[in-house]
Amino acid sequence: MVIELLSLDCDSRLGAYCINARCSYEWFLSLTAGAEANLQIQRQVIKGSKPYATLRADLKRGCVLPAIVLAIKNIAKAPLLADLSKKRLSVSDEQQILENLFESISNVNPVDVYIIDGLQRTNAIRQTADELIGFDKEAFLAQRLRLELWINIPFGALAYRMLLLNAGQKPMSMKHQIEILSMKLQEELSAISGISIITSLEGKRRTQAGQFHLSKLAQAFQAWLQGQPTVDLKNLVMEQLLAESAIETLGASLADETHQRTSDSFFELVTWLVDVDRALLPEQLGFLSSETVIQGISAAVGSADKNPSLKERKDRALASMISELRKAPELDPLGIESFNSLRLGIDPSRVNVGQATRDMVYRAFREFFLADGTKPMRECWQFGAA
Amino acid sequence: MLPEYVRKHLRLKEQFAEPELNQALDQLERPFLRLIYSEEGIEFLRRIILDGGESSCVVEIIPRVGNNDTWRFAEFSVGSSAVLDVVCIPKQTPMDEPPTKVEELLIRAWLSRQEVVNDHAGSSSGLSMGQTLLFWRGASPQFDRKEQVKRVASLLLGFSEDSPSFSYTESWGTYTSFALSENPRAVLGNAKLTELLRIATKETSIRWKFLGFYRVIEFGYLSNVLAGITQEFLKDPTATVDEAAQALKNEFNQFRKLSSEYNLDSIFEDLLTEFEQLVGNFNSFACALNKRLKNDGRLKNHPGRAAKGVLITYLIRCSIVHAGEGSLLFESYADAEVSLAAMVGHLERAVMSYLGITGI
Repeated sequence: MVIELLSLDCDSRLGAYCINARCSYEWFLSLTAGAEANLQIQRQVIKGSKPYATLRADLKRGCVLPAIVLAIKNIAKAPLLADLSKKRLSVSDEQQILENLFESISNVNPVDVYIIDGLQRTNAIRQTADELIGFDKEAFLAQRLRLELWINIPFGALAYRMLLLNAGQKPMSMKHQIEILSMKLQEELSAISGISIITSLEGKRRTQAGQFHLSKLAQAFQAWLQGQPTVDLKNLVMEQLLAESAIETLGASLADETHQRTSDSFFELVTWLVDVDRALLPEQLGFLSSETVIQGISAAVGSADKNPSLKERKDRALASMISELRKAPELDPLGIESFNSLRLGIDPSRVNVGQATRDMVYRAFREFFLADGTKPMRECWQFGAA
Repeated sequence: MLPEYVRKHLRLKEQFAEPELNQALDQLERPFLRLIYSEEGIEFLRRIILDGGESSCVVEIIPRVGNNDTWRFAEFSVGSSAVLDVVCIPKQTPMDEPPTKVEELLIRAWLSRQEVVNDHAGSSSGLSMGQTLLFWRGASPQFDRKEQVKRVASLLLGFSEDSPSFSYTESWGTYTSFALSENPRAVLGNAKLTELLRIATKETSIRWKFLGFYRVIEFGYLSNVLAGITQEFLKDPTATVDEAAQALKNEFNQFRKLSSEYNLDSIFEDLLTEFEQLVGNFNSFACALNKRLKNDGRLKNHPGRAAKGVLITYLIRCSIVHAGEGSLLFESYADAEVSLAAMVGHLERAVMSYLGITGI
């Protein structure tokens, strides 16, 4: 198979039309050999990044990619948009046009091909092909790819379309990214009894138990996914880490359909946090107001969730804690008094108190889980602070 | 009142209420301008803004920084009063978040001086790296020790103009607090001592650094001799001069006396322990020194480990400066610098103590 031209669509906004097509990876690679160099306003190809290592692995397993958008020029006999727009095209008219264009498109010179959207996917396909040999390579190259071919599109329209697509994909502010990604999370978590989720747009402070900022829950989600307390706040790393963690943790369970259970585990954690928040004494409201505390706990729970034997101990430990809190919160089963005094002992001239607190909380809860919930939290705090 | 440049960075209107401030702060990307990294930092800024938005600190910006590759904070006290906080901003943004104290001071600095942050376009906008910020605490312009404190701080933290780009030891490299004695014989009151400290700290060669610090000790025991002459001369001029002449013939005795008077003995005992480990590990220079030590009669009059540590220091000094026929030559031993690198930190501590600088 070389290329199949399937259908044609007109864009009166751009003053151009595109052909929806399908081709083999082999044909596509020959078509786009060196094509990325043609597009001077395109971003640099990202090579070697982990998400694309994962993509290449998925490609070998036969995943279907979204359509790649190309602009091709110097296509002989290409009709003008004006001609196409004169009347509504019938199916047979459309097929005739596609047949007329087939030969010139099939033989298009790679120098006349521009990648509008899909540079990284192109690179992933190319690298994957390079990694394979023999029969595996043949089979891979025969797999199909959907294309959107913009025919003889003017440069102005080309630039507009490309910038529009890239603007939609460029990193937004980190806070905004986290909130966009966690919108779905908010929908699910809102079902938790007693929770009230505050977004950054509201500008509200947490004033009562059960209230949590969405950004803190999103950071907790990342900490839980990673199983590590440090949520790197540098934009590029955070973005990559969030994607990588999500792909690894959630994607790994796709094959055996445990994806639902993976999400439930975080849901259960937040449910526990809400229950604890509501069980604590009013003067202890500050404990779960701190993002560092929430991240530390989430990371410890996430870390335990990755270990089947530790997960059971974690579940028992959390259950016993909430039970004790509900029975006698005045006895301070969470050891908040110890936590506060240990926190005061952190030297702010040497370390970042937030980071040190996060690490302390993580280690303390890890110890609590390892001890199956039998070790008093005041001892776990001391362990965490050591 | 909140400075306008701050208000613009936070995207606040001229008149804003608390919910708008909360919203603006909640939406800040962290690290924000390489200034604010944590929830605590955001809360600190929020409290300052709600209190009126002004920072009362006096900030001095030095366009240089020592060779630290991470954030550094140090507090300087004179007597019992804290007078200066210093924040050293490394040339490259470290991976670690800054200590909370640094973060708070950076925020205060930004509220006081717009130029703490560069306003270049794009991602390079933010805290200017590679500078040192001095925060004078409640110090009025009449604070007459200000320049002296600044000078000592620059030598200890490496932001003086002639600080080297790297240093060997700096035993005080992790200290966050320095107390400077007000005693007139201490570094703050003595320009010569400050100069000797400057020469020692700017050395990059280990042997000359060792010698540089030794010279401070030498200045110390010569000063002692002079002080003795000054005090006693009119009572008995001949005896005073004779005694001084005798003292000058025996440097080791003077050094030993200085160590005892200025409570440096424990430091020289530590130096001796280090030396013994070097001998145990067959460092050839240390072994040669040890051999010489065993035959040295001076210890008969000065028993104890501290005296031995002092003598070792003195002999090392001689091996560097002397080239006589019977001298131990520092350069003759390939591992002499290794030995010196292990011991120079103790000499530094002794010098700091002599200079009236206490650090933790």
